[in-house]
Amino acid sequence: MVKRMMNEPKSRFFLKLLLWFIFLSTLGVGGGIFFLLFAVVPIEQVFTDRGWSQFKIDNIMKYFVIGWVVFGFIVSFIYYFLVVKKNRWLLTWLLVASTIMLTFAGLYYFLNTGSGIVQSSQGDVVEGERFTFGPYPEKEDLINLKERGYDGVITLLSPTLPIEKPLLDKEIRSAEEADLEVHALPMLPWVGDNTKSIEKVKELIAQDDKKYYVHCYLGRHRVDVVKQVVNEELGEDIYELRFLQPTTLERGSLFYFPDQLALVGPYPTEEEWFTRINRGEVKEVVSLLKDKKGSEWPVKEEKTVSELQMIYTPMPLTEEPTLDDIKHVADYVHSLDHRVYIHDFTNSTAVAMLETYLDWGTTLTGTLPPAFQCGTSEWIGRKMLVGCQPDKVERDRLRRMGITDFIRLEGLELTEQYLLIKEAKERKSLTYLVAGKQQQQVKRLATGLLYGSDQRGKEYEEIVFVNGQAKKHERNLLVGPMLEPSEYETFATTYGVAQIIFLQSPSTSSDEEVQQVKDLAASHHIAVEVVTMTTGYEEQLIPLLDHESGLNYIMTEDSLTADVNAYLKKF
Amino acid sequence: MKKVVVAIFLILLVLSPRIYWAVKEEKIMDIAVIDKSVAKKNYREHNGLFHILEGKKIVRPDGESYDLGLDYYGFDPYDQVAMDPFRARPLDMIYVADTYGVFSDDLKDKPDGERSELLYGGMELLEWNELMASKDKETTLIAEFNSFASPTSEEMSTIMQNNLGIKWTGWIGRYFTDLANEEIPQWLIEGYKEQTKNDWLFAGAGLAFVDTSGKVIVLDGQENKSAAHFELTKLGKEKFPKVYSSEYIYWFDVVEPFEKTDILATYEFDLTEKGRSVLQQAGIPETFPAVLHQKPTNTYYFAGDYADFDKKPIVKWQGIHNVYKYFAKDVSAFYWLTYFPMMETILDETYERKNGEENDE
Repeated sequence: MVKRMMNEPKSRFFLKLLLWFIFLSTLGVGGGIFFLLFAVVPIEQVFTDRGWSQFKIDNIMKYFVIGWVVFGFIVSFIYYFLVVKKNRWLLTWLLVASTIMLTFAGLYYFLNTGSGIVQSSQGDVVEGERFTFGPYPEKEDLINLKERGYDGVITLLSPTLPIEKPLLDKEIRSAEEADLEVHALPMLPWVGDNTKSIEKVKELIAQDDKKYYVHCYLGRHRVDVVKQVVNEELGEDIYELRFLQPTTLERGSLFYFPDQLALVGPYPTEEEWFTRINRGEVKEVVSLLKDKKGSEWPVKEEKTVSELQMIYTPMPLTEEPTLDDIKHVADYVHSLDHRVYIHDFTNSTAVAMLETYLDWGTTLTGTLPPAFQCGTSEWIGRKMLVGCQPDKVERDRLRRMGITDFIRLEGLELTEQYLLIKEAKERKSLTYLVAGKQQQQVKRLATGLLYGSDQRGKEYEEIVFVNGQAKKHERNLLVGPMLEPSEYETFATTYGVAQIIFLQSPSTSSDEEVQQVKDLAASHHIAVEVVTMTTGYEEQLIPLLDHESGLNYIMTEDSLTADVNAYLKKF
Repeated sequence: MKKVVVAIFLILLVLSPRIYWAVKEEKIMDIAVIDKSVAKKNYREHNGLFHILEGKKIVRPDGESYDLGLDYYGFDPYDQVAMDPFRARPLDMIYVADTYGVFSDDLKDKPDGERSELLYGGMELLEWNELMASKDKETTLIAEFNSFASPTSEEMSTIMQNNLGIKWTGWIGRYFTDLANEEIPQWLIEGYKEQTKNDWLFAGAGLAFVDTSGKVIVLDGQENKSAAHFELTKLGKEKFPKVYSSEYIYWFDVVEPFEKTDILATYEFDLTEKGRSVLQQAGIPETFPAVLHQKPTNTYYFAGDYADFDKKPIVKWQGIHNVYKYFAKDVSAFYWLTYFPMMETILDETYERKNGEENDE
């Protein structure tokens, strides 16, 4: 072959070589563009749709790229040996002209991103709050982006690709004219290491709250990489927003009701307005504060509520409201279709009555607990009274206050007392508990079952458990260690635990332990729920707490209580 | 014509292992692989396992083959973000390849081996609970070296060790073919210098141990004359008749078994008297467990980075591993002679147990 070449005139030999080179390069570039648009992109889309990893796709697409190069060389050698070398000049010039035209056509389409062929391969524009993803923007698109409040463009075009460099230069010029900043973070599809560009994207996400348009050429591959980084960095909500409803404010207890939109409590402090009430998605505030003229509080409140863009509805009540007064407020609250916070200044009689009425549909009336010949009784909210044995006249007086049931608890076993009060709670009966000498014990038990604590949970701090220490989170929420069998009585029944929630860690506890907890709780008539400690277990835990206003005891192994306490803090 | 027939026959004969592989039945197994240390796109920490899955034609429950870049839980080197965490589902096998994580230094083109900021890693209680909630008595749990070490918290580490039936002494170690080459991590050298106030002047093959307090012990050629020799115990030989002993030349940890945990293989060293004395002073035994097994709960602990394999062998040929094992050396020798047949046995055993077939044992 060399010998034959040497026989040819030197100029002819170089012309042939030049023609081969032009054919190879123009076929490579021109054909490559169409191969990319009509073969590589659709094939990659098929792989993506099949759910393959980018690693697997990259590995395969590499062979397409290599395959195209090999194909180009093979075709060019065929061209050289079968056409050029054989001096078939017409075909030689025709073929090289065709590939040149192919290159021009390819470049035309590639550089005119608005053309039909390119558009058919382009991905959709996906708009987000701060980042919008899409294909290469023309000058008009950039002007439009500026008008829509975008601050800049993140371009993933790579200047190392000869066909992307002019596009990048054009974009920088157009963006300058449109007054948009350009962040060039080059990425290479399939073959490149994009580490540095991804790091820069993360910086842009973290540094400011500017709005960007992110694009590569087609808006399909490289933008998807950035899309995932943005989603991850901005922490898209995986779970529904949940938080533990607080049950105690600075000026008193806060009450909420399952399946109702009402919250009842005291006048919040300035901080609580924002951290408790506003966070609780309250839309309206019903104020029971008495005298608007005589006090600065209603005025101050009206201003705060207005700042928080809530509705302010004053419904002042007297210090000793009647059942009708309470009904009036409750009816109004029930007529609303949004969350409402009803409050007095502290946990007044009005608050106590309203809480009971909203929860049970009825309430005891009166400000002071009635005093009898045998002693003074004590309120458990406005749901129950606990005291000594009343005589007939006194019983009639209690009935007039709303008492429907009398339960004699004096002398009964603790477990029996627990069961009887629990049943009264389930019946929602306004009950007088005859406790005699056990008045304090019964009061503690009944308070626990109905409200948790009436002392902000201070009494729980004294309890010593065999397996570790408990932590109070709310007046009706304790997190503590596994209860020993005896502690189901000395603690759970004594303090009126309404619900035990066993947080079961599959890595540390067995099904047998779960069954043991269930059996022990059942023998003491205590409700028990088992929540498996897996990712997002608050989804199950928080609704359980929301539905129980009495004392909730979250029980877990001692080694895990610190972990649980830290976890609950997040909510 | 005869020549053509002979040629076709020969071609078919040569291709028969490939054809056999193509027509052999797929085995469906749901396997969760945890690998939090995928800083680079080589997926090397779980690469070795995936070759075995491919070779054995073990596929996902949806019938698709296991995808090296997708079918694991950990860090995505493309997007450089944590992937969606594992959520409990009934599994056939759990394989914890690595939980060490990704540090900022790992993302560099050429990591310098210095300690850097943790970006992602460690095992957390809820995540481990998800895995344990997915494990029934028939599910095989395998964990490797670095599953419960830092950055996993001590409390979490204890829980994991309890589940695996082992106790970690706090020591890790590695055999280096040359203590003077660039592969020695900078933090190891710095730790040694800080502790001894001497320069790192080692050369030649050697063994390095580090414990959680940062204490470093180096045994050079005068103290130790071999890599960690992986030797099956009597129980191990019964369980893994196709597994060969070999030299293990990567990171390992020094663990002790619980009372009811079986030791199936151990690491042994060719120590000199001086070497023995150094280990004794540090409280490191001369021989310690390499593979541990809790039979009642089907858990295994591999005290080494066994699935860490950066080669890309052709595995879609039936029995090809028997060819590889004759030619393999160094890391590959351990992979083909030891890890590959051991995992084959465990996978077969798990598959049979899960599919209710009779177990030979």
